[in-house]
Amino acid sequence: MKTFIMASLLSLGLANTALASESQEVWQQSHVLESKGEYEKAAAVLTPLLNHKASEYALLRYGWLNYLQGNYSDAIDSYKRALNFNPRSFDARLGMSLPLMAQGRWKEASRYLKQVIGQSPYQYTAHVRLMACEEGLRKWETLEQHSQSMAAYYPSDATILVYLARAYAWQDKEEQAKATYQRVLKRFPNHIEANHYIKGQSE
Amino acid sequence: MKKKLWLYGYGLAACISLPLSQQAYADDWSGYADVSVIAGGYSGTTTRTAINAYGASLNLNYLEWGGMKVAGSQLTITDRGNAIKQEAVFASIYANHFCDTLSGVFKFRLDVHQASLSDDFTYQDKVVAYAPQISFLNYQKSFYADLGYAVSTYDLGFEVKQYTPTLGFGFNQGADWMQVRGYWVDATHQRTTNVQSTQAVELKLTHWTEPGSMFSQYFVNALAGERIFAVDGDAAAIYSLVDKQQGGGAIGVAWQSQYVDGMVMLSVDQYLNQATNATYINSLVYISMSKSW
Repeated sequence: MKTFIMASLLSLGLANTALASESQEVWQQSHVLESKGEYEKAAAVLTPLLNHKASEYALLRYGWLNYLQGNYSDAIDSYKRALNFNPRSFDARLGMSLPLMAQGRWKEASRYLKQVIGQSPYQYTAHVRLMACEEGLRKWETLEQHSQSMAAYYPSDATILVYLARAYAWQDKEEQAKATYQRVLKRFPNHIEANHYIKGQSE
Repeated sequence: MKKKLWLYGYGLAACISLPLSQQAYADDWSGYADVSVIAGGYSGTTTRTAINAYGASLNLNYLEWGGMKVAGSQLTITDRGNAIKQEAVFASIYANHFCDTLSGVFKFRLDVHQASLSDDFTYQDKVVAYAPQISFLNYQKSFYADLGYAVSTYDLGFEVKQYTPTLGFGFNQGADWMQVRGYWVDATHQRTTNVQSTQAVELKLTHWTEPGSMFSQYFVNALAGERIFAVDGDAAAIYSLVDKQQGGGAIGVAWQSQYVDGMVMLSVDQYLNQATNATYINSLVYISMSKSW
């Protein structure tokens, strides 16, 4: 009996090692294929792992690779499955926001981004993507307040200032838009949009 | 002990995950309400003198999944000093389907129009129209196509079928939009089995302005050909009078402000009175104010 148990444990251990090694190979293959731009193949090699017990990361990666291919609905499905695995996942929510934004589903993307911000109030990526959603929805007043408040937390960041400048510009607050684009130029002297706006104002 | 720990762990996870899933649902619904008025006059006719209308609508959308619209309006035409009235209600629902293969969104929509017509004497009629439509808009918002169908049934014995294929194109980096819609209308009189078929083409050009402009949008519409008993889903309107529209045009502007958005449109259309075979001109001003959230 003792021998049987030992043999069983040994064979289980060997099987796990083989699985782990196979899995490592799959991950490596997937990353190499992604680096070559072969997103479809990089996603395809992950397919056997998707229904595995610990497939959360496989689902996140499958979602990302489908997003890169333009298969936005498949990417959303994959991120939703990852979210079911781990309802606390910021990665799944942030990941899901990308294909939703690509489909122009600004409100739905905002919903997931606000969930992240609700738990982590100053999460940079969530805020910047939410600003992109506010721009997509043309909510200029909301965008102004949002980007102004975040610029205080990330004072060296040019992206937030660009959103703030756009919000001012669309609300006809020309002086504030100009001053904000000038702040962008201090950070990115060749910023095309900022230079274009300031040139247009001085003509 | 183990069970207790598991329960504690589950409870903790639930405490953390519940707020995540319940946050921000208040923003899931969006929409707008608008009120509109129309005032107009006639030239080239000795009987009709004025047209007035007012209406209101409420639009609700759930995320980008779908939505609904309800609207009501009352229109009065003064003819030989008598009032011809049309009271109309409109309801519409739609659902979106995102299609990555074609890189765009299909919208499945169903409109229902109901209008009651009456005058100061004995004239009374009622019309119900069902108008399904399937449309496609690419993600870049540079190409649009739809196919609309409408069947209208009038109590006085008319059945009208309408087919409206539409194409739209965005250009100039999304600042301009051109839309062409064909109207093919078959009106059958059930009692005399007469069929009257009309064809028209409607062209709409819209320009969205850059920041700093007084108006957010300028537009020009033109209609060539003939149209009768038309059902217009964009305007949530049903044209229930027997006179035949023989072309027309409109210009307008729209603006956005912190409080309300607005639109003003001026239109001129030519009609044929089929009883007298005389044409006349109808000029209108349309004003609408809306508040979105």
